[in-house]
Amino acid sequence: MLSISKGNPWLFWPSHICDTFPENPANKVLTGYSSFDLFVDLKVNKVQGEIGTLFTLLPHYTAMDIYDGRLLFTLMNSFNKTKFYDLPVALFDGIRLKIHWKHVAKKSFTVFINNNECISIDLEENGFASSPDPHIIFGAGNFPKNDFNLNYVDIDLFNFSIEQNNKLICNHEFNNYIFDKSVDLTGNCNFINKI
Amino acid sequence: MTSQEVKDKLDGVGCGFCLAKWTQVTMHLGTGMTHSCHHPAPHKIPLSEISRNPSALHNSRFKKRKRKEMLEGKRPDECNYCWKVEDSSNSFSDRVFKSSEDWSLPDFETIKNSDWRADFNPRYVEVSFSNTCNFKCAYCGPQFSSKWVEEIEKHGGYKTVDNYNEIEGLKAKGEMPYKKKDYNPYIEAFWEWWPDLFPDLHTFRITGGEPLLSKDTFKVLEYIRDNPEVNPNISLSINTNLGVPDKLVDKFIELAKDLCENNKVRELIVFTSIEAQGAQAEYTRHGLDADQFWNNVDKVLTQLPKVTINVMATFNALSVFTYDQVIDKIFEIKQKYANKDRYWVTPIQLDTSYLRWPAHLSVKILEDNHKELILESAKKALYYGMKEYTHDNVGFTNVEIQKIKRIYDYAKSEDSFDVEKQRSKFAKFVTELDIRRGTNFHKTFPELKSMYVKYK
Repeated sequence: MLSISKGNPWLFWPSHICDTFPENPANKVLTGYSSFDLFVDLKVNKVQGEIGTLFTLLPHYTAMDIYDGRLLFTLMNSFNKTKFYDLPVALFDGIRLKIHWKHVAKKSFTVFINNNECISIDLEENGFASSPDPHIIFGAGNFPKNDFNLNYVDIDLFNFSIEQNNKLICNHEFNNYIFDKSVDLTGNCNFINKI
Repeated sequence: MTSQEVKDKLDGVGCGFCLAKWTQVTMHLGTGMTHSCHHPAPHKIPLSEISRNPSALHNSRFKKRKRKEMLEGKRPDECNYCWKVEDSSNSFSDRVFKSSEDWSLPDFETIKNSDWRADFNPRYVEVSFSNTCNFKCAYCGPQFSSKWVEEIEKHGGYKTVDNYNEIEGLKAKGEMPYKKKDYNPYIEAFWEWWPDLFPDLHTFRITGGEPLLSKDTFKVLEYIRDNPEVNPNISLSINTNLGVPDKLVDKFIELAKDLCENNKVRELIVFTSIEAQGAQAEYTRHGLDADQFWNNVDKVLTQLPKVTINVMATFNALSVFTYDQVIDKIFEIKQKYANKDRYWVTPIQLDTSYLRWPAHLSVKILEDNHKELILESAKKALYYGMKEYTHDNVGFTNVEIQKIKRIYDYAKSEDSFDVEKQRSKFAKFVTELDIRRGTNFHKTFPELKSMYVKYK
């Protein structure tokens, strides 16, 4: 388990340290051009009265947020327009959420919480914002150095994985760390590091 | 200025024009050879030329003829490495990159308008004073190591089909290095030229042999110490195996401390080498005491808080089993000695290159499962990776990681490499090496025993 305290976010961006290694970094699957399944198993330690980002896909803001007891999903479309979706999940302090993003390229973006489909967004008209080098921040809405839209939150991460075409390409159980980097159990070096 | 703009500028003079023929030189004073840029083969400097003009160490008649060709729009044959690149791709050749350097481009107009017969003081100079060395690394040879000369004079070349490292060819071509005790007119010429050369230098790098075993290395350092007003902007680099007696290391540190603390140089970088750990490193780099090496790394970085050490690792078949330990060690040092005063961002830098020659020591001779160990090393370096390239961060840089990964790609690449032949040569080589040096390959490299037995 990885405990992320407020103000100390972690980053999934395995392509940002070395230009050529790993050869097929898993963050590149999240460009918006291809389909993927992303899974996050986490616990939100405090919910009531909190405004925070559990995790966000950047540079175009697509994220899971909490807003004073509500669970929100934010999606940016290919015209860089952001839309917020209130998800039908009752939150409480210490709630465990198993989040699954299912992106079918140019078709749909579906969010499952604890195996229940909460929302499915049609992408055929407006698409999903794409970027050549996407990355995910856990426990914040932005990099601390940017000093805006930070929305720090206190969470525990139990699992993070990405699948493409039903193939597991990145998997973290947060039991093994090297130099402030969580080790990718697939051996593909798709690490998550402390910012 | 972009690379394309530099290329256009060069092509405006001639399609073979390259500033490095004037601005850069490597002088092998131990053998009396010189070349500008490392791609053309070194050529012998006639003694008659340096007796009249010591700058013929760089401005030899041979080289001036090549400059003439360049100024007249021709392409010298000796530079065909670049012509191949330019003719077979859209990539820029080293002609463009070397001419773009800040030790080259500012002299463009001067060189363009110069007479081809004119002497020109180079800005980037590498010099090897002699081949005197206390090591005889497995992949080195008599031209660069006096210890190798001693061994070959005693036992002859290695019977590995091609009489590896024999010296008869060098003798026939007049390229045998001067012995330390012998008078060397090329060194005399260097010192005659030096007062005129030094003020114009951008970068000066001393290679070997082992530079700390050469009194000329210390003479250079003392000269810079005693003439601080002449060229305080010089970038100074010293190669050393960090395996010489303590008194020489201490003497070097003392002089370097003066140069650094009193800003008598723009930067001072120490280049050294290691590509394995412990007994395996000592087998490959015969003469090395691995503990002494790392103690000297500590000593340099402790006593010279502005200096960076660059470790040039010649990754070969004998590196693969302990390279991950080298990475651990260097990572530990990066953390321990990081400070904001270093000339370079990191206190120690690992520069991994693959060995191509001698082919029998190449990583290409390895079994596939051993090649995978290279990938594991690259992964380790990646996990030790630096978040951002600033003095505030530690870890391996983008380039350091890429270079390790490149070894794996090279090892796995398909080409005309004759694996069977080279494995056979490898087995013969280490058998002979053990006999000559009293080493024990089996004990040192149990991982390679089955391959050795098969090809012996």
